[in-house]
Amino acid sequence: MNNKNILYILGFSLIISVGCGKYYPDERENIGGDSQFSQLVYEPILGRNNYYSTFFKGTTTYPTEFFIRNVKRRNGEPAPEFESILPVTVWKQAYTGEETSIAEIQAKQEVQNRPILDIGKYSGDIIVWNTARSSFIRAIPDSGYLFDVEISNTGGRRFFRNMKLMPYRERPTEPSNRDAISGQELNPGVFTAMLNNVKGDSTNRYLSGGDLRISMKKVEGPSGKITFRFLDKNGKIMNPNLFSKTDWNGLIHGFNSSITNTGVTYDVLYPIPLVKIKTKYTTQDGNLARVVFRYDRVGFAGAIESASIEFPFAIYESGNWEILFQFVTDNPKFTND
Amino acid sequence: MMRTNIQITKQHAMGMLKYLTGIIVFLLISLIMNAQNNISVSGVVIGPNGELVQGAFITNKANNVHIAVTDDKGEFRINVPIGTVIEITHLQYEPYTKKIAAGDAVLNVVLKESKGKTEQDVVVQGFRTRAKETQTGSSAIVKGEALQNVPVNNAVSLLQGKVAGLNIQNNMSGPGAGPTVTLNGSSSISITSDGFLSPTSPLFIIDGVPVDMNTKYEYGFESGGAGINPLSLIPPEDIDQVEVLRDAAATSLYGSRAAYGVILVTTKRGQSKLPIVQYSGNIFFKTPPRMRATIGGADERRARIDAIMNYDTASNEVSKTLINNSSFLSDSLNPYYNNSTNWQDFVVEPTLSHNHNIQVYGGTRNFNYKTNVNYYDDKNIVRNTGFKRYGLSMNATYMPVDQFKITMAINGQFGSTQTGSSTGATIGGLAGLSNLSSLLPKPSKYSDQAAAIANGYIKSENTSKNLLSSLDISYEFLTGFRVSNLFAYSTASGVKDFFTPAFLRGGSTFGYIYNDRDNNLNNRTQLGYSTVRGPHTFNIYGFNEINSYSTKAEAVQIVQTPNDQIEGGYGYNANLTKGGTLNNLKEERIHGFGGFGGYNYDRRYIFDFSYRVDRTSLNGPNRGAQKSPSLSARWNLHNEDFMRQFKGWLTTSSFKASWGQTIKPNGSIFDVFGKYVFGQKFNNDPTYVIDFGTIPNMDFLPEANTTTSFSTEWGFFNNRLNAEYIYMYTTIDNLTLGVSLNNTNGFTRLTTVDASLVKRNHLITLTARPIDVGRIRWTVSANGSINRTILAKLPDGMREYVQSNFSDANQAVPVVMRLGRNQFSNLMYRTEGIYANDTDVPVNPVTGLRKQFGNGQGLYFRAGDPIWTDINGDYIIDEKDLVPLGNPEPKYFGGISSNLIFNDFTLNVNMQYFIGRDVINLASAQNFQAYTNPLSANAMLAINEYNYWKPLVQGDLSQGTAGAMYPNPFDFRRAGSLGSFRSNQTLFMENGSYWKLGDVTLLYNIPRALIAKYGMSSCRLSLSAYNLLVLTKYSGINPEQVSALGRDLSNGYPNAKQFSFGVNIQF
Repeated sequence: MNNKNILYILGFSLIISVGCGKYYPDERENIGGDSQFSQLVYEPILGRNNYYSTFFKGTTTYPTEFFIRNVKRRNGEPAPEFESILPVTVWKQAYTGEETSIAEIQAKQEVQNRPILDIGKYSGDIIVWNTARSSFIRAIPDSGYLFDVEISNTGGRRFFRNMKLMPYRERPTEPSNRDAISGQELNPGVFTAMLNNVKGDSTNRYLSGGDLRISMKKVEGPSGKITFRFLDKNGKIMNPNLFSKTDWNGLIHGFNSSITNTGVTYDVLYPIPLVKIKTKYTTQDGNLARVVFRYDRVGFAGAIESASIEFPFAIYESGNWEILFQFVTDNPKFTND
Repeated sequence: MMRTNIQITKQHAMGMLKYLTGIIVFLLISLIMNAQNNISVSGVVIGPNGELVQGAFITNKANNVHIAVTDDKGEFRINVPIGTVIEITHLQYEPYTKKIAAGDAVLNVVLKESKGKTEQDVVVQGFRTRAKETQTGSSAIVKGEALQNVPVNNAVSLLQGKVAGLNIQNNMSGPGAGPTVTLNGSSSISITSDGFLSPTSPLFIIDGVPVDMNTKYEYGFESGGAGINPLSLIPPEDIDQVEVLRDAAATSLYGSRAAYGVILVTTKRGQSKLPIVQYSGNIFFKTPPRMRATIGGADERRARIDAIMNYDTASNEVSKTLINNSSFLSDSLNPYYNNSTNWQDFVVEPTLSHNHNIQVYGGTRNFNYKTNVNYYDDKNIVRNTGFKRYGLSMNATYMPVDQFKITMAINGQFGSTQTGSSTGATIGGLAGLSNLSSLLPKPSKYSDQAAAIANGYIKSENTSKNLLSSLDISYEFLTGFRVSNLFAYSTASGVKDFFTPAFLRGGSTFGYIYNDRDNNLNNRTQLGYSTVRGPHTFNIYGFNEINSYSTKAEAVQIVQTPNDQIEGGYGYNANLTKGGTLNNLKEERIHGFGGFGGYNYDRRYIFDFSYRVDRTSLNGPNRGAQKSPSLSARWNLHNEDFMRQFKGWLTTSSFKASWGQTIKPNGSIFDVFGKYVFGQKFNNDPTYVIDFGTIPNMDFLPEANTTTSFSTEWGFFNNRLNAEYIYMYTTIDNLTLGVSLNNTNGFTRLTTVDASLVKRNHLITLTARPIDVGRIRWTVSANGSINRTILAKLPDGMREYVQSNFSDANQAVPVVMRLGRNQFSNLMYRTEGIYANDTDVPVNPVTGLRKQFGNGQGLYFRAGDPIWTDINGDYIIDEKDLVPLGNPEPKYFGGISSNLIFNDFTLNVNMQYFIGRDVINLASAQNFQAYTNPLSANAMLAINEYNYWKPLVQGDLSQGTAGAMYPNPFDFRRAGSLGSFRSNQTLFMENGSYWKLGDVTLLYNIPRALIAKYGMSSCRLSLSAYNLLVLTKYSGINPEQVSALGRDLSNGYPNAKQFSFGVNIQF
């Protein structure tokens, strides 16, 4: 083989090596310049699970990982309280509202250890767990905390800096009689029940929400119980059996109900409601539990008046809770006309 | 001049350069030669079929010195001593050896055809015919005979699987339609509004006349022309050969429009001194493919009622009311609803068609002629549709003296299709018809199912007239210098005449008249010089080319004419009537010029270079002309001396490499300069303002295709086994993509030319002749290609671009283009299975909520629902969980052909395969969707063979079959909003790979002794079957019949099986 041939072979191999080269980009995920958290100030209420789905995808592609970085106080000091990882109760199976015992519900839950300020690893959903308490977290009126979110995938990494976390103090019930900022009780109770066809005993007028004060109190005793009591305008305990048409078993998703002359008690799991879905124990949107007390009486001209007292509520802390319905202006009339 | 030296070729007789060469050659030759007893021998070398053999070497056997080469008229002249043994060699033919005797002054030689295949063909590269051995570009040749045994409406359909890298999908089987053709995969990234991929078919050049298949796809015709593909108008019987030019070195001189490859179609030429008259005709029988099994009559009603009664999530009372309120279900004794109609029978039927072709040809080298008359009548399987073709083509060559040659060709074709109530590409209304419930009565004038009879009453005539003409003049005014001019003009005109009578349209008639005209003028002038100096051959020429293309279409729509007999003119409803020129109006020009230089050393080392400059009317004014250079080289290893020792088993071996660029103007003038439209009046004068829809792009450029290729060819054992491998790396730049502009800009969109694709292809072709013993000859050839297309660039640095602004059968699956992936992926949910039980649905641990579809719609997943991958793990299935999946282009495709000759019988079998492509079975999605809607009168197709979710206990919807493949089809309350049967999920993305037994042909040549007394010179009978068998795992009807985006629309024209009997007689 002469030199010329070698030259040709070299030439060909050059062309082959150029031709076989790879001059195009690899496939990778993308971190979009237009991606954004649609909420920059987070104001969770402590003592509850707060869940925020605020990541706007834009041109970011998934899978993408999210991390919370660099939580600090507003003045730049470190915030070691957010390093705490505490046990929280999470769901592993779907709650349906048709469970027949506490054990059955608890079997669907499990305890996991989670940081109190958490982020869905792939979803970017920001979670403040109910283990965050004002006893160690600075709540409003403090200016709160700053944190960064790092998102990364094969396309790169990006930081969303200085997102603000300004929690409110605990309000363990909803509706609440507490001031959002100070956490102090402003009133002895709330007046948010819906009264239907409830006639006043002495005034003979139809009572409305403003006539029934409801106070929700945690009392001494074993946790995991809820009691409903009624007080008349004189502060005397009423017999719950007066609300004779009440579906006591379907009042609330509780078990082992016991009706005494002073009240009705259930074994329950907190929070109430457990999950924000519509069940027969909740309001239409599933946000609040709903108790309905009913009775019938024969009204004017012999017509039956079906009366009901409906109260939507939520309780976020476990304990032995007592819900006191006090008629403040007039007692309901249970007798027939 | 004294003739002391040996003249090598006639071209050397004159010219200054000749003298120099002469002296050199004289010095060389006089050393080895005795000047006594010389004889001047001249003659013509011809092949077995009378063709002139150009480029044959005349070698002195004694010393292996090439002493002459035949010129383009096959002539040679040598001066050798008497007794010299000469050998005439040409790769295409068997060598011929002769000892020169005293009486051999005139030596006419007839060479025998060589049995080899690879190197024997004559190919076209750079506008010139040359031996394949000296070609530096890559091309493949299919002989016309391969396209003539099976009657089809478009000869290109039969190229399927015959050329490595050429992907042909017969996905449009409608009357007059043509296949989708791409070379090495699609080169497009743009999708039309009706969900079709912009075609990127190679440029066809029919006898020198360019025919661009990529235009006229607008207005739902989905094939060039008024529903008639221009190639459907070329009679297959008239095709001599089809050559596919693959790489840039082969196509670069075609410059503009050659970016997707070039396919040269050459029609037959007269070659015989005696005139030959040849008749061929076929009768062919088409049968519809397997139709979808439907549920009929009472079964259908029961299925609907069962679904409502057993699967309603509402209460039993509500379900009953639902049925009672729907008379279609409850009123089972009403004759209008008490039927079992097979609608598909009203759509298709088996048909018998025929075609005839007469060809007359003959002539000598100085004058030859051919006339071809063709008639083809194809009644296709859908009722009231069909395609007819009448054609007359002629060509003639005149060569009064050797220096001057003129070839004229004219090819006139007239095609007409009936498309019934549909467009042609799809069967539109008829597909809707086959989706009707069987409970409805048979079609009649008085039933609602007008679509069924509409097909019979609607007048829909499409005609297409095509005239291709070319005039090729060449003149060698000085030896070696040749000036030539090729003028080609083609004109095509299409007419669509559509009229719906009043009773089919609620009492108002509807007429639509469409006509279009295309004109295409191409003129190329070139001046060339070629010379052979000993082992050195030089070729050089320059050319200048102009091309002008214009198209214009007009349409008139007339509504509510006085009656069904008056189809227009007067008395129509002026409010609903409109007409005018359609906006695909075009007038484009291209001017190109350039040059070519080639050098060939002893047929061992070959170098080619070409350079072409194009200015197109679509270039942005800022960008000027576009340059298309190309470089290529070839090394014929087998001609090297050191390879002679392997001659026993290694017949040929060569390497080729090339690099080059070609362009393709895309887009329209409006993308470059914007569009001016009527504005509001100013001072009562009309104004013209710029259209703010699209901003002018002064940097607009045609697509540029740069190909680097490497190939090698090997022939073993006297070419009984041939192998060719080609690697191609192609970049396609300047792809157009419309991007939305920031809303602070006055304009809304910009057509960018910043997207790029990369294609990598490996093409392999193997040909073998395992048996070659006299009466039995068996040739098998197989080819395959490995293809990968990658999106390499998007405008504005984007990495991903989602296109969802199109609809295909209203079941849009958005398309996503992502860098580094194949250019089109479907944006869809990944279906992992079906939830067997409610408890299988995962729960968000924080909120306790089950996985749901959409946020806050209450669509929590339950048993019988599809499991869609929650990519971002938020327990919500929404657009964040859509992922790019699938590739509609086959990864591997090719074909296997077998040709077995046994005495007078010939058996041809052709198979094709397309492997590794993803097809979205929209039809199957639609079948299931019909079940989720039990109250609407759609056809219910049998789904028994599908493994769908069923409850374990009747009435308990929380538990069901594990491992089901399809979701619960009866969940009619939720399925609509949840979209359990949505088409953008992997459930309906199937493996669309298939093997196809394309055609089988048995030919029988009646022995000459039997037919001679009738004056016939040959008579051949043929039996053929086409579209015989498709082997696939695909669950739909036919994996071939899908759009280029891989969507199986159920409204496509069905592909028929075809059996034919043909006669071919030659006098």
